[in-house]
Order: sequence, then C-alpha cells, then structure tokens
Amino acid sequence: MATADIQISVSGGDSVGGMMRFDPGGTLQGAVQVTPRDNINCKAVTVRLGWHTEGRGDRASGNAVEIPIAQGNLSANTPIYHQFSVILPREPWSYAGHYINIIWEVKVTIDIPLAPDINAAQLFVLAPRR
Amino acid sequence: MQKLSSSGGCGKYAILLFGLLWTGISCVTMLPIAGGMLAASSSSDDPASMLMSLAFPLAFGGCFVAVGLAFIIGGLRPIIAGARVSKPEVAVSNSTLRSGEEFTLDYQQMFKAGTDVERITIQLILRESATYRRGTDTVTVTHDHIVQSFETPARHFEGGETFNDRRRMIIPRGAMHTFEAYRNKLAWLVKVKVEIKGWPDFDEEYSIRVLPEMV
Repeated sequence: MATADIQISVSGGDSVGGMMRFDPGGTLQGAVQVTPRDNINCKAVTVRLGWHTEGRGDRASGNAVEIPIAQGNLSANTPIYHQFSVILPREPWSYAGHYINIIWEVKVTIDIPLAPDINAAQLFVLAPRR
Repeated sequence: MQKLSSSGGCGKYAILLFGLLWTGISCVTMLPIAGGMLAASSSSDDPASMLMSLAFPLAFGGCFVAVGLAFIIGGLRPIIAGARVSKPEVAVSNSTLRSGEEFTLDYQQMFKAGTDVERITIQLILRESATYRRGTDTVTVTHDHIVQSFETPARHFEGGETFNDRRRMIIPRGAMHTFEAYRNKLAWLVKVKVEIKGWPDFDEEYSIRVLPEMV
C-alpha cells in the first residue's frame, strides 16, 4: 500500500489553545508538503478547505476551496511543496456544542485509483475575536 | 418593532389529527375482531370461555386505543389552554440580529376569563437539533442552551385584562449564529410559557435569526 508524509501548516491567524483562529472573511495562508515514500500513480493531489459537523447528527459538510496541486506520477522521496492563500468564507463559524460541533480543516487528499486515498488534515478555528 | 409569528403552530394540530386517525383506525380494526370472537364464543354455554376469548383482543386493541388517546390529549392541551388566554402578540426591535446585539422584546397577551397564573417565563434559547438514523428509524434530538430567562411571579388576571411585558435581551458576544445544514440545526428562539393553575400550560416559541456577524 502506498504511503506518503504530508505536512500542512497554516498561518495568518491567532494561536488559541493550540489551534489557529481566523476571522470570518479573513485570509488564511498555508503550505503543504507531500513526500511520497513509494512511487505513486495518483489521479490527483488536492488541498481542500472546508467544514463538517461532528456529534450526534448525521454528518453535514461543505467545501469552501479546492486546489489541485499535482496529478499523475509522484516519485518516491521527492517532495511536492505548495503554498496557497485563501479568503475564508463568513460562515459557518466553528462551534462546539452539546450535540453539534462544526469543525474547519485544511485537508490534503492523494486520490489513488483502485486504492484507499491518503489523507491528512490540519484543523483551525473560524470565528470572530470575542 | 417587528412582529414575530410562532414557530411550529401546525405541529400542535398535527398531533391531534394523528391521535384521531390512530384511535379511529385502532377502533375500526379492533371492533370487528372482538365482534367476531364474541359471536364465535356465544355458541358455547360457558361464560368463562366467552370472557377469555374476548380478553385478548380487547387488551391488545386497548393498548393501541390508549396510545391514540394519549396523542389526542397531547393535541388538545394547547386548544384547552387557548380557552383561557388569547394568542399573544410578540414583537422585537430587530428580528435579524448580530452576535452581541441587544434587542427589546414586547409581549402582550389578553386573558379571556379570570385566571390564576402560577408563573410566566420568557426565555432566550439557542437550540441544537441533530437528526440521525438508528436502524430504520430517523431520530431527532434537541438540546436547549438557555441564554436568558425572565420570570413573572404568580398573580391573578381578570377576564379581559392584558398582560404586558417588555424585556431587554442580548445575544451574547461571540455566540453562534443561526445555522441550518443537512440534519444539523442551530436555532435561536424566544420561548414563552404561561403556567395556569388547574389548566394546561400555554407555550409558544418564536424564531429569531442571528446573522454570522459581530456587533
């Protein structure tokens, strides 16, 4: 099974409780480094910025931005580095409640045909300063 | 001021309608079965066996009728309470609010007859509603975060007297905005409950919208 090291970093926000907080409508700057451990023939490597719900209810989700960063053959131990800057949406804000949580994340997916995808995510908080 | 209309008004009548349908269908199904068994057992001379043959369909069908009656009683409660108090007029200074914004709530309700009220409660609530599948059932659970609560103590109202109340409310700064997604919902409500001595409570809920913006 193909494997890869994926590093995601985000900047441009405030650090709150070990996570980065961004203002709704603000700018998130990020960088992604994907280092395949084996040669991988992938359909696409995609950076997605989106939210999903967690908790008691069935999962709801939404994608704000989708950035394709590579496709085709990825050579073993050859890193792919990609920087991006995204204007964040104004809603929904991050939320932690009793039955519902709203989680924002930057997610990198290596879509491999006829095999499980390789995923990594970096969570962040989308909420105004209180 | 902007008038608010109560949310879930049809739901109350839906419970009553469901109860009537359920009870009706239960009775229509149960009576011919009981009648048939009674006719069959009447040919025997033993009254004990006649009673025994009737006991099962009556007990089984009776459970269904009892469930239907419970729904009917639940559906009738707001109608019974409505015989004592008229529908309130509720208005807010702004029905689309921002996080951290203050607003004024005006409440007016006329009492149709002399009524002893034990308590009138007005609450500002953030309600979480989550819906999920459990086997073949779809289940919705709710949790209310009571943000503010105001109580009017017990007092007597004469017939024709109007209860007037004005409250300053605030969506706390940084509080979540109204959110509606697939099977997940966060709703802001004003909930009013009039507890009437010896009568069913009168309760209504009014939706307000909180925008994803800060004051």
